[in-house]
Amino acid sequence: MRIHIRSKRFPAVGDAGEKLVLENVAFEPQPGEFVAIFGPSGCGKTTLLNIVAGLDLDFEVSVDLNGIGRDRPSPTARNEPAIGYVFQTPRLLPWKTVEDNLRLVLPSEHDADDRIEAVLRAVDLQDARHVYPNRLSVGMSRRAALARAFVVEPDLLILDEPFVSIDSATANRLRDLLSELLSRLPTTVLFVTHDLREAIALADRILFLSTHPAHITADITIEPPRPHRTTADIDAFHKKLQTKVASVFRTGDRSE
Amino acid sequence: MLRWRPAYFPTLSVLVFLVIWQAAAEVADSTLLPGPLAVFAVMTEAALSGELLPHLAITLLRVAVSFVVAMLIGTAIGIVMGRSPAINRLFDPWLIVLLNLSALVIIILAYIWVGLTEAAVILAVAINKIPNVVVTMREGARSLDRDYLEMAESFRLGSRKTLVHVVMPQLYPFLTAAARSGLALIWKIVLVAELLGRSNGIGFQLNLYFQLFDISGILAYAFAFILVVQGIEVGVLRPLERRAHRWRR
Repeated sequence: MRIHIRSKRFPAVGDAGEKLVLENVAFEPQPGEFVAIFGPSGCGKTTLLNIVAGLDLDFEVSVDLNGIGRDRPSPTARNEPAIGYVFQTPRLLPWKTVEDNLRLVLPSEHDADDRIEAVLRAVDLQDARHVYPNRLSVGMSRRAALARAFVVEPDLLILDEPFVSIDSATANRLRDLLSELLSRLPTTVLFVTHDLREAIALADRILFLSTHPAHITADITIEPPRPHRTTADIDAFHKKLQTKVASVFRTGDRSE
Repeated sequence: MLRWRPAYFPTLSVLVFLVIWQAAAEVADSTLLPGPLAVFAVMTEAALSGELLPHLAITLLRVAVSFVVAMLIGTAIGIVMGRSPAINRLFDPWLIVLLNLSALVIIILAYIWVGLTEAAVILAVAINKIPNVVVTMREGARSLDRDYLEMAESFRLGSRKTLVHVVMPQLYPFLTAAARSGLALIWKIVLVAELLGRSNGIGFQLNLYFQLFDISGILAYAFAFILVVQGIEVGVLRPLERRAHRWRR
């Protein structure tokens, strides 16, 4: 899989002129690799994900999603790679129960019940399968959103700051859940965050993005490799990186 | 003992209306203002003699067909205009012309151009109603949540699944609003069309009673249809609405 975004501009709106958001962002996630994309808020991370997911078609880019090398046939009709997207907010359809939200994204009815059953058990939501999203707690909605992304058995899993604006205990449980789901179903992951420690805890590799326009300033592989990373390892690597981050973002990125 | 509860208010309000009407009729004591009892007697008589039902049925059929046609076409055009600013700007002037064209003008032109046929009635009534449906559904289509559409796109739901499961549920409130105002508007227009160019239906009967100056007959037919429309509201529209809203907290 290869992503190369030469430039992405937002058109001029009102008094604000045209804005160059992304410039020359290129990287190649390996199959099964967990790539964290780290950068300050508003630097264009979500824009980058939307381009990869095919939601934003107005850019100069080449996104080559082929060769996410999996043996099983792609489940989508057009033989595209299946994408599981976990947005910043859960974005579950409120007029469908948890189960029906999952069923909707499955391309075929074939073995749908088994897949839904398995993934709901994995995120511990079997008892909430007939519940409407409005009645779920925040943590449960996030788990349901994770379940929806995993139920399609994605070739590419995209997560856009999925654990922001929830309490740290819930966020930690959800991070563990994500690691566990990934160990069951290895998937190429793009994970956007502005929490460096979270990126180190979960990813194989971190891409550092700068702002205005966003480009990759550093590409760091995390040691030691997943999944044998202890809290001490994470802390040590975090410390080491913080000095580096400080120098990378010295040019006033905290001015959001 | 009956408690003073809002649940009784509709029944109470109808009763009060009927009592005032009956009292006014007693005071006026004129054939020009028959009371509800007299009107009800005429209605029962017409129903028992077998005269009322065929007229009611044919009017109801015309209402139903033009309602379905207007809702389908209006919804489709409304969604397209709501989603595409270019198409909206292109056809908005047409919409304004249609919205402000008198129902009577459309009916007369339809009868002249198409002939005194059922097709002309359906066409005229649908053309009268479609612009209202378009305006309501366009508003709905504009308010569609981008977040859900992005979700549908990223999971590659395809256009059919997106329309049925993501778009239409968001449009239900607008659809029921359009249906409700549509039903009321359409049956009024159907009566005018029947009066002008049909030889059966409630509108035709009203014309007959108008020539006979039979106010009881006119009111009997009018209220018979109000009862039917109210039946549709309670028996069809409300249950549908409850179903569509059961996910709300």
